Amino acid sequence: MLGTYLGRGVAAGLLAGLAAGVFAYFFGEPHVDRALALESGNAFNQVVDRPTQRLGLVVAVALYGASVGAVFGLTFASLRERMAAPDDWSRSLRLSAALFAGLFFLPFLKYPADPPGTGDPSDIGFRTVVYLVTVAVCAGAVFVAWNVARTLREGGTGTPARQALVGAGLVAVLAAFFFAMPPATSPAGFPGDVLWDFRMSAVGTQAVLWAGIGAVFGALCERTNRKGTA
Amino acid sequence: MYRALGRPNLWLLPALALVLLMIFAVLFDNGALLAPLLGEAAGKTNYLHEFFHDGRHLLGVPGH
Ligand SMILES: [Zn+2]
Repeated sequence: MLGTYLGRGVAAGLLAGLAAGVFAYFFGEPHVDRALALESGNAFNQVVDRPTQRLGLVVAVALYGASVGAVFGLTFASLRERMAAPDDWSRSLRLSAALFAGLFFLPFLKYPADPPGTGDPSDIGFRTVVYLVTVAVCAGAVFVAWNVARTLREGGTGTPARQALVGAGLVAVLAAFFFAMPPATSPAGFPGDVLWDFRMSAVGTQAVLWAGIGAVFGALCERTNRKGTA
Repeated sequence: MYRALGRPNLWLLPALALVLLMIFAVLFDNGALLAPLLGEAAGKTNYLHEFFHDGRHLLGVPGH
């Protein structure tokens, strides 16, 4: 059964990753090109030409999709019995929303995606470690929040009180954590419109990816469930 | 999960290792993976970084 869920996760992730890669190709690449044009004065290691890098973008998002799809499938398999949602379709969508928030969107609030030409290459190792710590803490916080909410529900706490409490707790914990972490790179002097458009396309890419994983995975589960009961 | 259904899923650890390796190759590698093949040149050419470059920026990992 674990293998079945893993397979569904990889399939859903690959499919959603391809869709998100195509989205990024059309809606993200133009802003990468604008950023690179601004940067043209810098000596930049060009061993791969631009058309190949654009193809590499679609391949990168598809492979990333397949990888997080595998993580999605294994997480779904181990949490399924404990999720309150009434069917696999709803469970799948809720898990994909939780992973979108924990693995991407909450870290993005502190360390947003940056276009080429804004980061300092000399401290990329440090910034990478800081980013990974942030992803781990945000994903962990979402998981703990879900567990606390489950405990409160089983203890009989009403829905409004439970959701307000867990929501406020999550905000307070993450606010303190973000405050304690080093500041994000300042894209000093970088044009604000290019930065905004680039970041919106980055959020859009991840939204397409995670919505796609949730929908395809949920549909695959429901299809098998229907066959089982027919 | 590791022992779901009572028998150990022996393929689970290699599968997880493969997933981590793939994420590393796409998002973070800067020459280490190709070094056994290309030697010194792997760090300079940095093929994986350059090929996945736009994806790294748009997927939100720290870059240049
Ligand atoms: Zn770059």
